[in-house]
Amino acid sequence: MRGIARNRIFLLVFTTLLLVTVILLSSLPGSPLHFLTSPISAVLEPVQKTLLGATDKVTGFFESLREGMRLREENRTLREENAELRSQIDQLAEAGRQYEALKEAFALKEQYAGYTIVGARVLTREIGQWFDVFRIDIGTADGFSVTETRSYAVVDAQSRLIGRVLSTDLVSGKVLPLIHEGFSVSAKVNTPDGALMRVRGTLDLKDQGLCLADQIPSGASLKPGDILVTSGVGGLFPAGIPIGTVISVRTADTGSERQAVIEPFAGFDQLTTVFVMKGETP
Amino acid sequence: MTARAAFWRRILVYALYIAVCSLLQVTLPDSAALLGASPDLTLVLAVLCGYMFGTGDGLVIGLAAGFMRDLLAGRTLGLGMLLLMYAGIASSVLLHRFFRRNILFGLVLVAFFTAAYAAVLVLLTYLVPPLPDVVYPIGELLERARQALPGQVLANLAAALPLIFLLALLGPYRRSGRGDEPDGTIMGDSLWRVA
Repeated sequence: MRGIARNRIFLLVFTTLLLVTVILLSSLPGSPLHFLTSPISAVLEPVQKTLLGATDKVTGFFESLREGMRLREENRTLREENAELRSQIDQLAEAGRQYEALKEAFALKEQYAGYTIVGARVLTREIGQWFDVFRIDIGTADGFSVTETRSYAVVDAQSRLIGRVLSTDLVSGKVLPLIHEGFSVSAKVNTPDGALMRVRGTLDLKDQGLCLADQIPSGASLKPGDILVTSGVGGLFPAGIPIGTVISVRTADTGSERQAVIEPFAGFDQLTTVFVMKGETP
Repeated sequence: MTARAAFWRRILVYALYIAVCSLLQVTLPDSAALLGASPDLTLVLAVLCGYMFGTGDGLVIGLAAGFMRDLLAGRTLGLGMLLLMYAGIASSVLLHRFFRRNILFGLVLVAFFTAAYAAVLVLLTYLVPPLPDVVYPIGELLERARQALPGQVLANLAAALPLIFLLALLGPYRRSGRGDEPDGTIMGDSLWRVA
């Protein structure tokens, strides 16, 4: 009897030590341990996509019921607005032509010239603290491999910063969102001589969908309404990706250092598709 | 049913429960949240399996459900396995002998382990800061956990109730006997030893 108990305790201690080792090893960027999940990811991926489709349909059905009632009322209002909008179309068409010309002038298309942008479907959502990354359906088979010195910026359809790829296995990758407390990125105020600072997620702001700017130089000008973009320092993220808007500037609890609360441009609640930026040079 | 068939039945049923619970947990829309919290199905499954079917089942299901948790949403591999393995073991070893098995105490266990799990995560966040130069005060972390706990407990209890019946009636054992009891042994009020 005592032998069985001893064996159980040994098994438990052994398993615990093994798992602690796995945790430490898998927390290293580019750890080969992440490939252990590849076979299961490959099996799960089609199941998850089917499940996501079914969830979307069920959610869509109930939403369509609610929407139907609203639509009837809106339809009446829209008919009235329609006439007014028709007159604006001609003006907007002209504005659109001007926008295209300006876009070309500012070379927005060439801004990320050295990068390939690949679309990815969001497969899972976060499930709580420490299990708060989301999975996308691209991995090493698509040419994305995270190492200690290489990761990938993740943006939305409007090229606004979402986060970065944390790890990849054969068919899927995990994304650390911008508002996550473990995320940090070098940023600058989007002006010609804008000050450099760090933007990071915090536990208290994450729930509100906000993040924090700190390490702000003492003489730097920063005020609500300022727009922050990635600075490109460090080489992980290309310079100029829009991050968010400063909504308030405050003094840190721990001293005289200034901090700013940032409202990211990207929305994190209803993410279904994201885009991963892959530099052409390794 | 032969021992071999019973073994494969256990494997298949557990695999199904683990796959469904973990996939549902990461797919459920926000509208399924209760007081801002979605049910932690993998934790509930590990706790209930340990409570209803014994230490061995709690350990194995905790490990497997934890692996799925790590795979689907974990920052690292292994943490979910470690936490859920201990939840599965502790729910059987620490409490079922005292409380005996019935639905009410199954729910008490789920509530207890939801709180214990939140406390462990607070401790982890304090001891292993997400960014090296950013340390969160333990008081702030506890306060955040305290605010989130009622919703999480309610959501987990709401998930536990149907799961208890499912595991009892459509579970891994034909008559929902536990793995660590010899055949014919009836303990507690044997609520889910339904013929």
